[in-house]
Amino acid sequence: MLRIDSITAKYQDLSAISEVSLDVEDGKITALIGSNGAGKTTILNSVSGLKELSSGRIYWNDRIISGSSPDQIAALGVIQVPEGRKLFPAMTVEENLELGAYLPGPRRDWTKTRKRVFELFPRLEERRKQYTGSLSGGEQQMVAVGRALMALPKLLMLDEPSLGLAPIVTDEIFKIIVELNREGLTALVVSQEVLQTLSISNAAYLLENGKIVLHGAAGAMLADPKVKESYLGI
Amino acid sequence: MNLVLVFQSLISGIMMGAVYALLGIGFSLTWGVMKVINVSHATFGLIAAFVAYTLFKVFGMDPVASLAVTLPSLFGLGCLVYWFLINPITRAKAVIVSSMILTFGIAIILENLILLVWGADPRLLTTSYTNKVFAIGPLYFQYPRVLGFLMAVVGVTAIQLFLKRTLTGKAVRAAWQQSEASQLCGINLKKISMITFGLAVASAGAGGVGMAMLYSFEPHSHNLWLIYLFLVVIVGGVGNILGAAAGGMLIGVITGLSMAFLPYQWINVLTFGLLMLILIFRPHGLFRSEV
Repeated sequence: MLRIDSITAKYQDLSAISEVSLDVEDGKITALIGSNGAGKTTILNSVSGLKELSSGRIYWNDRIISGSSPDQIAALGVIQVPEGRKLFPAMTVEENLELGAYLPGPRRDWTKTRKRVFELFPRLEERRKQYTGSLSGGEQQMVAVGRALMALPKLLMLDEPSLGLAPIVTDEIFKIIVELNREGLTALVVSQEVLQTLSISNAAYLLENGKIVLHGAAGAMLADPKVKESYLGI
Repeated sequence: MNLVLVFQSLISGIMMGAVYALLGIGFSLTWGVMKVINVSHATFGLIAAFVAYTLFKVFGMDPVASLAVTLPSLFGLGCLVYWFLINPITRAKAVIVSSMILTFGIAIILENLILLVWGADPRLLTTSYTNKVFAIGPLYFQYPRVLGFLMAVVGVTAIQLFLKRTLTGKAVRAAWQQSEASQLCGINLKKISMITFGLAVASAGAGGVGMAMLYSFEPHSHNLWLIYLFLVVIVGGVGNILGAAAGGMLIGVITGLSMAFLPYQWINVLTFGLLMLILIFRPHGLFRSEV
């Protein structure tokens, strides 16, 4: 499991997140919700090793991973689907997927994994020779998730997987997250789509101004008056 | 105008241009991929030329065969230079400027090392086939130029295949297109950049030997070669391998044609006039930048 222990990260002198602690249990979907600019992406980038911490530690299966480089963390199976997809635009769908399986472990059976990804996203197989820069937003998000799955993730962290997508595509992406979770995948989902995210999650954390202000079972969070008022508009 | 002469100059221009291209692709690659303008690129090529000269004089080794020694050595040297000198400055804000200053220093050091080892005399790589020609119809082909051309074709094709077909080559392109996401895929940026730089320096070696088969050379020659590098990259588009190849040929053809029909003094005026026109009207090069 992933354990984030009281981490603080800064941009220049301003704290983006301060003393954030968070657990992601094996086999569960954990939601990290909060408004734009609350620091959700900073937390994921800290886990992935892209953002340096000022203090605190991050553990993966009781081993300290904070301070490791992004490629070392990816090699442990801690994989992120970054916000805004961040695909390789001048490469085909196939090449993007192949690079997802860049590391030696995932590389071994990568064509088999790719077959599985094409089963999950049949549209990607149709578009396999197309440059990802020419795909629609929804298709790009599918490539981004597919590329991450190619790395055979043990923990999949999705940053705003539904941002800018049509509701029908959002539904499809969330359905696939649930399906993968049923097969045993652990996931950490970061989203502003509070209702939809909480309804597929087991546990949830609410982040405000870089601090965790509330956490608990996802169902309990849905019923929480504060969440209802500020994030669900009920 | 004599048509045979036009074709003859076109052909020799293309052959010379191919060697400029071979010298230029690595320069274009490091510039495009890692925003490092390696001013010492041609100097590494010049080292390969001098080594080829010595191996030929002492052991009678063919200059092309000498590449079996120089290419791996230059690859290793390039990797070391990247790891210990270039990588520390890649975090600087203006990588392009700092890399130019740093590699300018490397070029001066290498030039003086060449001066120490080989002395200041101009050298000419005269092999058994240097003056041999063969004819196809009314057109003559000089062996060294044909050889240089073939080397360039092999070199450009090899780099292109590496970038498009191998996993490491794809990782190089990925790192350039989206460096953050490439790291999330498990790509070690420092290692990938080191390999790219090593390969670029090795390709400079091939280009340097190609140049040595066409022209005489001395410890300062890399300065002139460097100007051709800028020409090739600016015409071809930064980071564009096939563009660099086309750019090299274009420059070769212009040089070849002007050599045949214009007074010697006009060659560089024309070439650099073209460069200025391109910079004014097509600042990104004649071709699209893409790795």
